[in-house]
Amino acid sequence: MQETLILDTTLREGEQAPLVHFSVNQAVELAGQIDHSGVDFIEVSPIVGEKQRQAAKEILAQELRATVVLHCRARKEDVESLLPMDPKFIAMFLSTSDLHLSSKLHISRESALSRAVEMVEFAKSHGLKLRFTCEDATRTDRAYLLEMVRAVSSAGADRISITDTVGMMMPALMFSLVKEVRAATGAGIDLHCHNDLGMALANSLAGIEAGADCIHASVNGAGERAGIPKIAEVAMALQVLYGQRKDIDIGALAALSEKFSRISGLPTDPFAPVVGKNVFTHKGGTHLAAVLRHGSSYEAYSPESVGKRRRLVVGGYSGRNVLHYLSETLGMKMTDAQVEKALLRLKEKERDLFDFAL
Amino acid sequence: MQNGISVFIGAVTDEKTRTSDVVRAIRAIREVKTIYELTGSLDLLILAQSDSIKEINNLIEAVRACEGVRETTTYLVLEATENK
Repeated sequence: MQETLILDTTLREGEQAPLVHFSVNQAVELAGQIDHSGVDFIEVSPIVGEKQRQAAKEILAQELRATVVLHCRARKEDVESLLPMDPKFIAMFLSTSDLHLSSKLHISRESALSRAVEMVEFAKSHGLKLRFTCEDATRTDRAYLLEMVRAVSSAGADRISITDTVGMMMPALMFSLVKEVRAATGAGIDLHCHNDLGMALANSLAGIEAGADCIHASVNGAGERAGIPKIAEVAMALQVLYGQRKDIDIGALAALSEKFSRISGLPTDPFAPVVGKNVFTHKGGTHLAAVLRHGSSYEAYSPESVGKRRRLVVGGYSGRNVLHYLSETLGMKMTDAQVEKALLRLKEKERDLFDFAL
Repeated sequence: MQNGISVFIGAVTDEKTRTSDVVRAIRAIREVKTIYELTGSLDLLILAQSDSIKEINNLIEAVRACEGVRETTTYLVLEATENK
């Protein structure tokens, strides 16, 4: 399997989350830090407003290592509005499901198909590389979706994005869908999976196993509704489960998570993989005993890999092992009787008293 | 839940060293919060706090290394209750 690409869309999808707004300076600074982490694409959305357009201009001027993708609708005026920015890569989206075509766009399948081809050809005529996004792809009639994929590929689309817009896929279904899309096009395949049922990362990885080569993610998973995969968990999953993307600096992604929380005022979920406050914190007595001997006893990846430290909680759930450890490490020379008495007092508390880093 | 470890370090000092000099040396240790001068079997009681057990261990060693400190005993704080 080839190395999976990662597209960060914090500045586009992420800013569509409630309460999330980036100033131009914040967007430019975030783009620089996202780039530093080693991702492949950074998506921005200049068509939203003047602020986003200015941010996109300044981000393009930074000449980042990652490819900056300008996101727009599959409309001529949108593509034309991007041309003065001298983009190298754009992404245009068009709904493909009958539900969206009838209730949102009020056009037929045939009209959507011809519009898609026309817009791809228009962008290509200006020398642009582009991704064509089939919005609501997973709820689209399969035969029509494949017809659309073949048509925009023939028109010159460099990449196709398969979107699980409302997050209703399951990994096995995503695998079979992407297998068919893979057979229908030679273009790169992106996966944009929403997390409404908590399946976004699993669906993305299933799609990768079926032949897609790029996962969309954002810092802390920010996005519409339940969001999309968290970029730190995507990178860690690729490293731990597939042995890929060792070049991604996950410590930098953890720092980005904290920065995003500060800017947005949205705290990071303590249970969030990789970046959550609790990820390397152990509490149960048997867990502490095992972790004190071998850190990996209860960890999928080391805290050092994320630039963090392992923590232990002492309180009502503790056993005598942690007390012996504290006694020996701090040179307290507690007798067995003193340890037993301390243990009884911990149990009496029936709650957590303190935690500490190893 | 309190973040980090708190310990009291009881110290017996050397009669030949001025207590104020010992206190001055211990105050230089970052994790030390309060130093109590006592009568009785202990001369000093030092309250120290840190997020990390390694740092606590290092500070205990640093206290022991201060000139005039003859012996120390460490007590781990399980819980502190303030009487407001």
